[in-house]
Amino acid sequence: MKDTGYETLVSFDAVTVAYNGSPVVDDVSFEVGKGEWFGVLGPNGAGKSTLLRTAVGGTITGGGISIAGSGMHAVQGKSRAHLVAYVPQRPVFPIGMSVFDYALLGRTPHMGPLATESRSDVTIVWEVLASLGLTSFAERDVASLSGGETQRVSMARVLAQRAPVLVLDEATAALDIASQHEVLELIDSIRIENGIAVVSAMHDLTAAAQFCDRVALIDQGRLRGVGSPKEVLREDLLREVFEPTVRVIDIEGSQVIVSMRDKERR
Amino acid sequence: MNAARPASTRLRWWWVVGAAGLLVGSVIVSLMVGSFSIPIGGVLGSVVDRLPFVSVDAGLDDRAEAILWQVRMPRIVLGVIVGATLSAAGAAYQGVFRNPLADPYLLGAGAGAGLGATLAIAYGPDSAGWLIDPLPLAAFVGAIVGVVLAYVLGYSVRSGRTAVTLILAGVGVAAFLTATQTFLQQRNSETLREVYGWILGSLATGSWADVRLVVPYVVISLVVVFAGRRLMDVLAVGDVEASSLGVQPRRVRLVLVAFATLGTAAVVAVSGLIGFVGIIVPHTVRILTGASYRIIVPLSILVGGAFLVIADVIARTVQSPYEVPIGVVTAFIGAPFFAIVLRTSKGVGS
Repeated sequence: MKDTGYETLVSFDAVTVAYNGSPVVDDVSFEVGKGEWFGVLGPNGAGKSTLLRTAVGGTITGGGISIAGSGMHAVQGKSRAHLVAYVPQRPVFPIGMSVFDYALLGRTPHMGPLATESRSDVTIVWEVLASLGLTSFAERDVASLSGGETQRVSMARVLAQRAPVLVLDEATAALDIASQHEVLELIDSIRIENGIAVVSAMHDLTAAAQFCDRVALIDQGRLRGVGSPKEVLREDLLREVFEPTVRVIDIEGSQVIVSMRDKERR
Repeated sequence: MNAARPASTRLRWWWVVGAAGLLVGSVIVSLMVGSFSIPIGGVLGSVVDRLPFVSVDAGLDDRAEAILWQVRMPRIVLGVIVGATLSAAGAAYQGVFRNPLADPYLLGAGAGAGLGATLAIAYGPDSAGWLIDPLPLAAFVGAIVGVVLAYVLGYSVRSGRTAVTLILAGVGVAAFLTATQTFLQQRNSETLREVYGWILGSLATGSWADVRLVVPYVVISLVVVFAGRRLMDVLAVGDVEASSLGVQPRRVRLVLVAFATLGTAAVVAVSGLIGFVGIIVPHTVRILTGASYRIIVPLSILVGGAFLVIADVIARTVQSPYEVPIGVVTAFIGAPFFAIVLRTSKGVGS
C-alpha cells in the first residue's frame, strides 16, 4: 500500500451543489495532499463531474474549497487558474488550431488580459511539448489527432499552465486499454516529477485501484467512502453502489473489479 | 531552448504585405476608374503632391483634382473603413459565439438600424438645414438598441445563460424589429424606394463628413477587437475550459460584442446594410491562412477594406451611369469567389 503522508494542498469542505433545491452534490468533504493522486469514483450521474467543476469556478451552493490555504471564494479567475488546471470529460479541440497554439492556451493565466505570449511562454510550451514527445506534432491540427494523442496534447496544455493541482474529468474515457494505460502512466510520471496533486474522476475501478493513492466513492451526490483503494473498493460497498454482481479479485496484490454476468444467462 | 513559435502558426510577413498590397492596389485602381478616367500617373502624382514637403505636378486639371479628392477619395476611404469594420466585427462575432455563421448583424444590429432608418425616412422631419442628419443617427441608435435588447433578453433567461441563448435572443429581436420595419415601410409606400435603397447599402453619398463622423467609433472598435484576438482563441475551447484558464467568457463576449457593435453601428449609419462582407472575408482569410484569430483579425481588416473597394468599383462601373447596390455586388461576386476558395482549399491544417 502506498504511503499517504502528503501535506494537505486541497480541501473540499462540505461541498454542496444544488439545482432548484435538489442537491447533485451533497455535503462532500475530503482532502488531497501535495503530489497525491486522488480518484473520485461512482456510477454515471453520481455527481463526479459537478463536484470536480466546483474547483474550477463551477456552481457551488454550500460549503467551500480551499487550495494552498486560500479559500476558493477569495481566489477567482486568473489567480485560481494559477493553482488549478482542468481537463473536462470531452475537451474541445478547435478545428484548425495547431498543437502548439493549443498548448499555449495553458499560458493564458500568465498573460495580461490583452497581451500576447512572451518569449518565456513560448519556451515553456516547447519544453512541455518536448517532455511529452510532442515536438514533431507542434504544427499539427489538434482536430486531426487520434484519441491517445489528444490526451497527451491535453496534458501539454495543463502542464504549460504550471498549476500545482490538476483536475481531470475522465481523462481516459473512450481510449483502448493500451492507450488508457499509457495516459495514466504519463499522468503518474508528471505528478511525481512536478509534485502535482491530481484529482481525477474515473470510471475504471481497476485502474483507479492501481494508480490512485486514495479514492472517494460517491453515489447520488453523497460520499460513501474515502480512503485507500483497499479500504474503499470492497465488494460489499461496491455491490451497494453499483450492482449486486460486482466481484473484487486480487491479482498480484492489486484489486481487479469486474461485474459478473448472471450464471444462467452466460 | 527555442523562443519562437512554429513557422506555420505565425502571422507571416508576406501575408500582411500581400493583404496591404491588395488594399493599396484596389484603392489606386478605384481612384482611376469611373465615368471620368484618371491616369495612374495623375492619381499617384496628386497623392504624393499632398504629402508635406513634397511638390509634384500631377498634370491634372481642376476638374480632375476635384473628382479625385472630393468625389472618389472620400467614397473610397469610406469603403475601406466600412469593409474593414464589418470584416473585423464579423470575425469578432464568429469568435465569441464560436459560430461560423455569425455576422455583425446576428444580434439585431442590422434589423435595428433598418428600423431606425425607416423611421427617420418615413417620419423624420425635413432635415435640410439641420446641424445633424437624423438618418445616420437613427440607424446608429437603432443598431445599438437592437443588440442591447438581445443582450437583456438573453441574460434574463435564468437557466443556461450561454452563447446559444444569446444568439436565440438575437434572432428573436431581429425578427421582431424586421417585422416592425416592414410594417412601417408598407404603411409609407411613398418612401419604399428610399428605404429599400438604404437597406441594400451604398457608398454613393460618401463624403469627408461621413468619414469624420465614423472614424472615432471605428478606431475604438478596431482597437478593441484587435486587442481581443488572443482571447477569442481561448474562447474556442468553450466556456468551461476558458474559465478554468482564468478568462471570464461572458465578460469577454460582452466587451467584444459591444465594441464590434459600436463599429458596425457607425458604418451602417453611413453606408446602409451591406451584407455578406462580415462572413465571407474572415472565412476566406481563415481558409487561406489558419484558424487563429491572431491571424484572422488583422488580415480581415486589410482584406475587408480591399474587398469592399473592389465591390464598389464594380457597383459604380458595371451599369454606368447607374449604380448597382453594393450589397448585391458583395454577394454576387463574393459568393462564387467564396465557393472557389472552399473548393480549392485542402482544408485548414490538413
